[in-house]
Amino acid sequence: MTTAIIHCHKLEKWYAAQHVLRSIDFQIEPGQLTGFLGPNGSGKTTTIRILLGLLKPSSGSSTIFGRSCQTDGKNIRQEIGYLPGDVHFYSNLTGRRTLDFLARVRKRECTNEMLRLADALDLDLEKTVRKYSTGMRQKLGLIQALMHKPKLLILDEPTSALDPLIKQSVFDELRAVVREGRSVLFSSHSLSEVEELCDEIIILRNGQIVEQQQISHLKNKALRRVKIVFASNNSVPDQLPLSLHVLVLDGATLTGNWTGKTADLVQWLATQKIEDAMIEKPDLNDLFLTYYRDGGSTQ
Amino acid sequence: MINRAIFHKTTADSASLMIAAALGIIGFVVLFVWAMLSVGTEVLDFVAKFAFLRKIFEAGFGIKVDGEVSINILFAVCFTHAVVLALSWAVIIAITTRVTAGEIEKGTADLLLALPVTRSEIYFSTSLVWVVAAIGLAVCPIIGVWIGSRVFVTPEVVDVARYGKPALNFLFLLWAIGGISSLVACCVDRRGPAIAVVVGIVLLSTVLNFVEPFIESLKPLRYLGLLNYFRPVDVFRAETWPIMSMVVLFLLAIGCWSAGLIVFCRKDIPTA
Repeated sequence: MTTAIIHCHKLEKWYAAQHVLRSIDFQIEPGQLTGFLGPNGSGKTTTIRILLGLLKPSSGSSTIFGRSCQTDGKNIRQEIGYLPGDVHFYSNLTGRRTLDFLARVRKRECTNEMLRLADALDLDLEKTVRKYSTGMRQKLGLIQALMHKPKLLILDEPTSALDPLIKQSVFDELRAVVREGRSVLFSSHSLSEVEELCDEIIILRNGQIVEQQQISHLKNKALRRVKIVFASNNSVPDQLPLSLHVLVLDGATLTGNWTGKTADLVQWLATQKIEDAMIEKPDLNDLFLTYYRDGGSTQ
Repeated sequence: MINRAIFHKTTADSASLMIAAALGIIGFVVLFVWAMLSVGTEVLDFVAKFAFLRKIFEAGFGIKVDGEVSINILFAVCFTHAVVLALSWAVIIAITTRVTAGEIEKGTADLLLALPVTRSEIYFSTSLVWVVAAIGLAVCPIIGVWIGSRVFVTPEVVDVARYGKPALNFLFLLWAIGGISSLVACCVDRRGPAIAVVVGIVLLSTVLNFVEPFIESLKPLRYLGLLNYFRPVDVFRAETWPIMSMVVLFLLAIGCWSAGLIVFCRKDIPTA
């Protein structure tokens, strides 16, 4: 019996001749904020839609709370909050009526939480949805996903239309959700958001998972930009360590990437005649781009 | 099996259309009663002179002009009038395509289907709306005849209860159209094309039943037309229940509706 909140096993999806998901295998433990990263068309939304029962997998299985997404969807969705990537509402209803309708379908009383969230996200619920801007619709989508206090939140690019202030409020809400032991699957193509918010990251590319790691572990794998200023041109050694990949060598100044352990770099620098050395903070962006371009080979 | 919130919302969304169509049908039938009282006999006399027109009347309205035509029979023609058929069919097609194809097209299906409700519950809840709406629409011509016969002086007693049998036949016709429309709406992800397909099917069927009396080679195909099973004037005149017609229409309705349910429960929901 698995304890994972979400478990996907060899999930495959074909659209006619197009292979959209290729043997997706991952699991998400409870109480985590997991980033679901990948470029457009990598299969993030397809995976999410299979988890919610909107799409049927071509093969493989998926479970949420240990229940099959394909056969027990109704019970699973009782404890899920979902925000679609491109959220649409009934344009003739007000925000309040929309939320009331969704709460009634759920058969849950959510009024207090609904009003609290509307206040936190600064959304006027008395306007008709027709008059809402894209950002306001996004806020309404977040409120409907959060208002019944679900055990699992699945958010498909939830902050794409939000201004920075509201984005921070949303992040605070999500952190509070995780503090309460609930879980969040946060799909995005923005690395900085995921880096700021998430504990764990799953990276998809071409319908395959190329990485699932804790953010902290991933940072250890990330490249470190180094800039070394040797004492003179003659001080630049002929033989450089294998972990040092030179990008530019301009006289006595070397700029490159270090792919090994930082301690090894410091140890090697100590044996060299140098004037200055700079080691930049690990940048996930480089790693992320490597995944996007090469399909996951970072070493 | 029924989600009350979805049922109430679908009813509220369709209410204005249903009320407008119902009032339209009632108002039209009142005018129709007045027209039949004013010029009905003259029209029939004129039609009786031309064999071609007689045949058109027989094909279109089920009236044998050279036989005895009472004012009650003339009133029963309102059930087959294009205005009544168009208004009632429009309501049924609008409701049946609203939730499946319509929600997918608007993108709201993603929200609805991510709620703790099964697809069959959504299908049942919305189907109940058009099933009940059809009952209301089928009664409208009777109300129109009743109001017309009270407002205008009629040469013979109008027994409104006699219109019950044609109305029931009409109800089964509307259910059959609802079933077909539900199936099409589940197979197509856009509301416009879904409506176009249903209207195309219904129009083809109507044209088939209208022209088959004139074209011998089409006669074997008449069973494919919906109006072959909807003969309100014949039913009114014979005063017998059109059991076979109703059974055929009901089987068509339930068959198409069930096929729609299976398609809807199994289909992938695309993004808007």
